[in-house]
Amino acid sequence: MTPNQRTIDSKPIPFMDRRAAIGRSLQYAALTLSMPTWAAFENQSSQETLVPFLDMPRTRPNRLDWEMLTDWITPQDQVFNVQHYGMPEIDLDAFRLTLDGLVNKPTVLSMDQIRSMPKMEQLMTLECSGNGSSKGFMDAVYNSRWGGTPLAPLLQQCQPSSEATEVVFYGADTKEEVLRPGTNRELKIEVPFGRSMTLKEAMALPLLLAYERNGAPMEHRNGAPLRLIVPGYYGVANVKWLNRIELRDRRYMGRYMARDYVTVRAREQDGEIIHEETSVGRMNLKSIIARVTQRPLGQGKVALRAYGAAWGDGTPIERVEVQLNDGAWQQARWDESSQTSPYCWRFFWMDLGEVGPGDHTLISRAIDQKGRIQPSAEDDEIALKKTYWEAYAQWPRQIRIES
Amino acid sequence: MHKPDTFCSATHLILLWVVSLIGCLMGAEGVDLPPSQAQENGSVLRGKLTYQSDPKHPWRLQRYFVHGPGRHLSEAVVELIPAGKRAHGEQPLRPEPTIHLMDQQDHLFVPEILVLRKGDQVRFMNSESALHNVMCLETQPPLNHNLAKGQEYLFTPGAVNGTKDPLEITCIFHGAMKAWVFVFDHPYYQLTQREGIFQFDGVQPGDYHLRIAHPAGKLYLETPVRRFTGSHTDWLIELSPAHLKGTENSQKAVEAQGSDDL
Repeated sequence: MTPNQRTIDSKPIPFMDRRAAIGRSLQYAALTLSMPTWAAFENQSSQETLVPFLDMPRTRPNRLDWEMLTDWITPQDQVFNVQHYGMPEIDLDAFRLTLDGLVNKPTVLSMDQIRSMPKMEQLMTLECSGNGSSKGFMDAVYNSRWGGTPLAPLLQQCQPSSEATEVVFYGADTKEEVLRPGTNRELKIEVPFGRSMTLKEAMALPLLLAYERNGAPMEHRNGAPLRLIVPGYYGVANVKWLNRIELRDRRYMGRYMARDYVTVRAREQDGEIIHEETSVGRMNLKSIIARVTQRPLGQGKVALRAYGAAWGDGTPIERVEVQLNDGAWQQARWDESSQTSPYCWRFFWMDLGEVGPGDHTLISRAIDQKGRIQPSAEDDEIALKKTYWEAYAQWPRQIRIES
Repeated sequence: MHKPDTFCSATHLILLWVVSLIGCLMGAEGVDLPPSQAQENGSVLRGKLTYQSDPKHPWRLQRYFVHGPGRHLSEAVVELIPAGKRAHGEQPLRPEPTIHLMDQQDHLFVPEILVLRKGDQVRFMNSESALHNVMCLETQPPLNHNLAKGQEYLFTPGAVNGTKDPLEITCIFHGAMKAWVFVFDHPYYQLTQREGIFQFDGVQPGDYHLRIAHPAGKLYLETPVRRFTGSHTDWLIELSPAHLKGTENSQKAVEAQGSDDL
């Protein structure tokens, strides 16, 4: 290494060694950060300081920043995007939405025609089904006010035939898929990204053909010019770059319905273990502690407060409970300053009282009005799940309070 | 007429004192060398970066990059280049090309910034179970390589892009994953750590430009270093949202502030 070349691994020059060493020792002693005022909940005290989680990687751009959570509607710069066939280039002038298949009136619409249709807004929390599968993938969820035109009236206008039972939604993103690779029956096919649901579901759910997010044109990475919004369903069902809707009389078995985004669960039946495979669809009941703050009480003790969010498939959430270390579950309070809407998350907070120095574990669980309880990683519902999609287990948070 | 002895003694004492003083000063750290010696050995140009946030324009992720009450800025790339068309002077013999490691863990590139010399290589790795990818559309040909767990890919950046235009690396499956690779054809570059300090040794007198980039914060500043004479300079440079890349403030001169805090 030349005298002029220093890399991130180089040792500092001698007089800085001492200062750097002191600084580094203080880093671990001062694990609290002041909370900026713009990131505070309405009921948050100015004396509260953020207690960083011990084992979480840094938040990235275009991901939800849990520790700075404050907006009930997620700002655009914290909105994730995941795509499997890349992001297609779209000629907006040439873009068309085709509705065909088993319909008496096939239809082709331009964006101008779609925008001229009755407009409505749909509030919805959208989560990637893999969100929560690892600590590096905890922030692929966001809440939005989507603007567009409802799908059901459009389907009715196309007059589905009596044989139609399935609705398939295709995106403009395509890829060559290889079926049975490496065998003598290998088959290569060029396919668009696709998801489907029954016609009955499509007419019953408040599906939206969205072109706006939070009152602004949707970004290309989030599916512009047109995206299917399916309230209460995981992100994969919300087809981006939507350009074709097909009605058919048999189930659609594309990759992202039948091969990927398939949850495999084991269960015991008559003394034997059987495995069930289901396509990822409705969102599961889930909650997470977003951040922990502390305020000093004197004599080395602090008072902790936890903030978090809970969401699901639209079933009303009865309550959220929080546990500190191995203590009793305590009911959290809803944040009254944020909105409520059936398909959206709700914010909660919880005073956890005096906490002494040391490492602590906090965890939340949601309970809905159907009596479902968000399971822990040890419950069979999660422990016997063999795939990482639908990651809705309780997520413990680790913090350290310094003396 | 004969001079008094006292006068001769006083003169000798004064001369002796001056010589002694010079000797003491030369033994102390940080002495200003006579220009001729400074030219031969080069001098130290050192500084510290800080960041001043704007409450109206919060940098949400600054908690990872701004440290301590001094608001020191880490993970900034600092480059010193001669003004005009003058090249850097004779450089020390370049070491053998190095392979720099960049892993993918917890849906992050680790590290997120690499600074390297032309000819160095980057070994991309994936240490987690998720399928990742390394992609860069600015290289020729474009870089686009999938990495399953345990796989590696060796990449040689071709172009020298310096501080102005780093290569941006991303994952085609997880667009939030970002990393930056800065490539230089000289050794006058650094990546700041938690203390925010940069230091260049062996800098010859002359005019320079100091280029500072913080890709994660989208900050960029280019500032002249005029008439560097070889004296020891401690610089305190404060960045702020005013230095977002592409704004007019990115090219403004920054007044050097002496600092004893280094």
